[in-house]
Amino acid sequence: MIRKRETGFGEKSNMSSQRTRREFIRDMGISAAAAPFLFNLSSPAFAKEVNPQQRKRLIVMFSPNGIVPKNFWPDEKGSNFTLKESLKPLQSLKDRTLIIHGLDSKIRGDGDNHMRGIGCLMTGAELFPGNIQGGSHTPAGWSSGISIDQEIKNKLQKDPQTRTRFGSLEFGVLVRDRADTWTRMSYAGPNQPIAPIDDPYQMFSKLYGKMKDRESLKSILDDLKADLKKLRKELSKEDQHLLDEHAQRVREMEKELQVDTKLIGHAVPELDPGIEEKNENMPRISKMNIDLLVSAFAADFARVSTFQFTHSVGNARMKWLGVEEGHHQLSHKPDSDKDAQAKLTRINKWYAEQLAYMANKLASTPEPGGKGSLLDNTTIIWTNELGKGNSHTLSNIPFVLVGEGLGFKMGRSLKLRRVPHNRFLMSLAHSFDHKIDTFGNPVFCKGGALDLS
Amino acid sequence: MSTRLNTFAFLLTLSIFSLGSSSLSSDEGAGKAIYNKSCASCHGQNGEGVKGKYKRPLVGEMSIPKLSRYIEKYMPEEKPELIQGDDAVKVAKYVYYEFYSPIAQTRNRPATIDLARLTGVQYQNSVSDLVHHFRWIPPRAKDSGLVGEYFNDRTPGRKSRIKRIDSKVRFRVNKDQPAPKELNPNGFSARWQGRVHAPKTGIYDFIVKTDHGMKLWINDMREPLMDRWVKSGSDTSFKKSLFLLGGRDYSIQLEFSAYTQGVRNKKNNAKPVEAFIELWWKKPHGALELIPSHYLQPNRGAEFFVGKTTFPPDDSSTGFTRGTSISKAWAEANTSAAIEVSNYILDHLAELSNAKKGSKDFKNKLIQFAEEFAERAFRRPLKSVEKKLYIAAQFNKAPSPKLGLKRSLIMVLSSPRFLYLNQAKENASPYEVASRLSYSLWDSIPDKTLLRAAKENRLSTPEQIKEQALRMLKNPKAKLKMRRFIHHWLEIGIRGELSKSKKLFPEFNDALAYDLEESVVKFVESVIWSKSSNFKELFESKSLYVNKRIAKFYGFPEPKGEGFEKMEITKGHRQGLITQPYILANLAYHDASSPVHRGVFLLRNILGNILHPPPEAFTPVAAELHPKLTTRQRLELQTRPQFCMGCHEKINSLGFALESYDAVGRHRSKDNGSPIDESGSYLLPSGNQQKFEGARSLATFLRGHEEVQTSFITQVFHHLVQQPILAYGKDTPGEFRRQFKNDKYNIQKLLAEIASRSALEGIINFAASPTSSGKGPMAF
Repeated sequence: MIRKRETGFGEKSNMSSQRTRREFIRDMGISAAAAPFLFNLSSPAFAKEVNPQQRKRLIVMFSPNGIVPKNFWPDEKGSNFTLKESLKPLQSLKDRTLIIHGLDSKIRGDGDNHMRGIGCLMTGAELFPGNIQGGSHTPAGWSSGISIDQEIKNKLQKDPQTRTRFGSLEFGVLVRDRADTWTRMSYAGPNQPIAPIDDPYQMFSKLYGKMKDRESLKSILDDLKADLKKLRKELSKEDQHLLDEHAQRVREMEKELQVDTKLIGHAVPELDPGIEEKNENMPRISKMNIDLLVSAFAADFARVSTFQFTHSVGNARMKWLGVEEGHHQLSHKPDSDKDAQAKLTRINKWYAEQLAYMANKLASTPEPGGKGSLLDNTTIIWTNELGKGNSHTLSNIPFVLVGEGLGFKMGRSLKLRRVPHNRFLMSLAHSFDHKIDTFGNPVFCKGGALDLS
Repeated sequence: MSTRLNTFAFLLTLSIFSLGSSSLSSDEGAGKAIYNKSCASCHGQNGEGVKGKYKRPLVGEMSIPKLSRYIEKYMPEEKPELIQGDDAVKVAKYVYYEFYSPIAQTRNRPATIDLARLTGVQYQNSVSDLVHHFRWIPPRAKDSGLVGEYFNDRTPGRKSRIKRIDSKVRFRVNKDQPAPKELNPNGFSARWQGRVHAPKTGIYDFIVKTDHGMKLWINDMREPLMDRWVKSGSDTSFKKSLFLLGGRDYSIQLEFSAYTQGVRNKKNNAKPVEAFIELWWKKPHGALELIPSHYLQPNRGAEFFVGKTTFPPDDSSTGFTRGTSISKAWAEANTSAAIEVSNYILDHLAELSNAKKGSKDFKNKLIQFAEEFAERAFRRPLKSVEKKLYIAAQFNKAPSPKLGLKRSLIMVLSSPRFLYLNQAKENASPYEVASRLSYSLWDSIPDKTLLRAAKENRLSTPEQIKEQALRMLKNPKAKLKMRRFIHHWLEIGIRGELSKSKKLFPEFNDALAYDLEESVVKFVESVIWSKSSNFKELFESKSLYVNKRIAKFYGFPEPKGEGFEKMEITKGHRQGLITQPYILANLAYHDASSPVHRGVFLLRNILGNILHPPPEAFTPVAAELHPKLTTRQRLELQTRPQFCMGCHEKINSLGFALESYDAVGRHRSKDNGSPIDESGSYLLPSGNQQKFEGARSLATFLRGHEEVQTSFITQVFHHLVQQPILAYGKDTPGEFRRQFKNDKYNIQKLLAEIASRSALEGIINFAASPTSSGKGPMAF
């Protein structure tokens, strides 16, 4: 199993004073994993919250290499529109869908369009100069700003009413084990990329590992108590008190373990064992990770998530669609190449199917403690690094929204003209009552957040 | 004078261990009568104290002559002149033998060897060594430094252009320093690897300074501690902290590339590159420095398990750390740790167990692993019932072999058979002897050699055990345990960071403070681990460990190299431990010397006297109030009241002998414009006053004084064994001291002696040691 973790850009050099081990562990953020951990699995907000109906959730789903515009964008604007081939899988969700055409990434500077395509997509900020050379332009490093999902997560985590166990979850599907500008979309801050977890088993262990540990622990307590009892008889009176104390602690632990998985509020998903991370397993891994995401939302482990299919320049070979060529390779073919256009349309249709599966799964999961479904309180945004693969344009970047979490007016096709995507990112924050005046490069925030209600 | 303070003063008592009979002599008979008449109303019939009068038990460590003088001077509080001369001696004798002296205390309330669980430190070490039992430890390399390999490719690969040992990582190429001729000046990469030694347990900061891409791995070779392969922005210094257990050599690898990454583009590498990379660290309580070559060795080794679970502090109310209570926090920590260890093992299963998933013998291999793990954890072969309970039952009940293993591991690590040490059991098996030995010297489980000796029944005589102990002392784990003792004994770091007035001592900074700490530890270690290992050297040596920073600040001769150099310091009348700059500076205020801190330290830590805390906290009289007085004079003024002098007479007169050293431990000849008075004295157990003049004569006195040896022995014993020394017999300190003398005050032999004596408790009848703890047999 490949383990990935944040690549570790969190700490600025601070050479001052010594820290205690406790502070160190707290700073490292590993206290949740290591310090006494057994008895707190649910999210703090779960119990405290006044009105579950006011929960808001956001998912950002990413796919690479642009789309085929004529098979993607509806011709009409407004509520009366027809879904084109690539978006057909959303037919049953059409009333809950918002398609925004006309958002551009205006971010320039270092890096090629693929690098800026993914690196500035959620940050709205330039890349730092660096040592990663793209296919053209100057070399670049990481993004110089935080990404909007993390900005919103931080806002939610600050408030006990909205704080959850993880705050945000970063999923991937076949991202590949390489940390560079092309593989990272989410940023905790400047120069702090967050590695998505694409291995479902690793994500499972992050979400439910502790619960499994509890089960293991519970299973041995009876045997342990019996052995303590046996040993006690063999001790002198003076020494028995220590064992009595010990036995008392074990009994306390047992009691606390009884207060069990009820707090989790739902069944733990079962994963098919032994699914390897390889190209042909992409559909299965996608489904597994979507299932994990929905179950994590149902347990209120987090309210923000990213879901990154491969990476910028991703070259998945979707043989199950009858496409033998790699995705990136195909995306470079000219518009005149009918075969390539058809295949690219099919590839994006497959991504739309993943979106539909995710949305339907959320729609069929009741909102815990509240009315309606998870999708009523969740908005999924499907986006892309590029507007179009063969031109590498950063204009007209796809943004397809499903679900009512952010209170936008759904069931329409919106046509904008050259609006910087920073304004769209701001409107996401505003939906979470996070009224920021700018996000990313302020030059592109003129006019403020887009009104999508 | 206030009654409360006066009575309290009686408790501020000092003394030593000595021997005496407990039958009542005629003197004591008379003493008893006087006591009952004039003392019992406040102190109780048997010195147990009286509520509302003087409620604390009348116990202490003054000798009889000291006690008599005390009574003459201060008791009874309303009428100190009442008991004088012979009468005072009689009362003193009675009180001393009946309940006051340590011996009487032992007799009345015998110290016992209590069942103890592993302390936090012992737990951490034990689980780390348990996991490492299944791995390979390479021998220590002869060279120091790391293997440096240099490549013309943009990532370090297999075929290096240069391969050499680099004593440190400090590499720089620019206009003035062109790249080595074997390398392509327009782009190259490099890799350094080997091991880095962690001298103590704590948080290490690793810092890589570079203007290009790099990755750094430490211990865990699967996942980099720092991945800066993407160069981004203008930062050139990157830091990451890591908790490491001391005494171990951790694998390290650093990769570096002075190329652009991503898509190859000739433009980027058309001209010579400028590049640098350096590897720095900051040890716990250490200054920021390039990792010195003596901490590096060029061969790699296996990963160490280092637990992340934090344990609550262990009880140290008796002056030494011991695991004598099971708090909720401890139980939770220990459970978390058990799960952490089991998860780690499952995560490294193929490597540790040699079991291949899907193979036929997968389950058997796991069972085998579980058995070996349990044996190592329990430190002895398993009984058949234990095999059933801890291994078979867990595998049988679990849905999969891996879960079975996990349950078995959690069960073993939660078991009292792993968690407890029984140091008192009679007829202990050789395995139990091995256990006691390894925990006293290593704070960890026995190694293979020790277990083999147990198996072959070669751990039954003191000689056999001492031989093992002397072998074990060579292990870094023993050095680590003694390093912790040095810290405890010399109060290093207990007041937090050592800092001084910026106004008076602008050059005294954190880096210097860390150097001083390292210097004094090096000094003590150099004595302990030298061939003669002579305790007296600690008070006789005129050597100091000096580096450039220390030399500059204190005006010592400057060493040639970058690190520490041992040198004789003739200036400043320094001699021995007590004049080490760290000790003097640590026992001082931020702007002035403190004879009180120094005196208390000498009394308690060096002479082994018991001092109770002062009745209330006093702030030293501000210097501004008496602009003409020296520190000594101000203190004499402030502690002049009789109720202070009960203790301060002793404290001050020891501390005054070190008045020639200021707040930072620099030698001075004047204080506040007046010449220094460095005369001091100490009341000997015999009742005679020992006088000295300054540091050297004080050090010379301490060097030969028996109380100093007894105190050292007692403190070392408590640190190693974590049980009260008197529980091993009332004359145990005396026995050790006599043996210490025979061994020419050899500290290493003393350590072996202590380990051996405590390991054999309840097995061999020591002539002079009637068993003090009536323990039943126990099947550990």
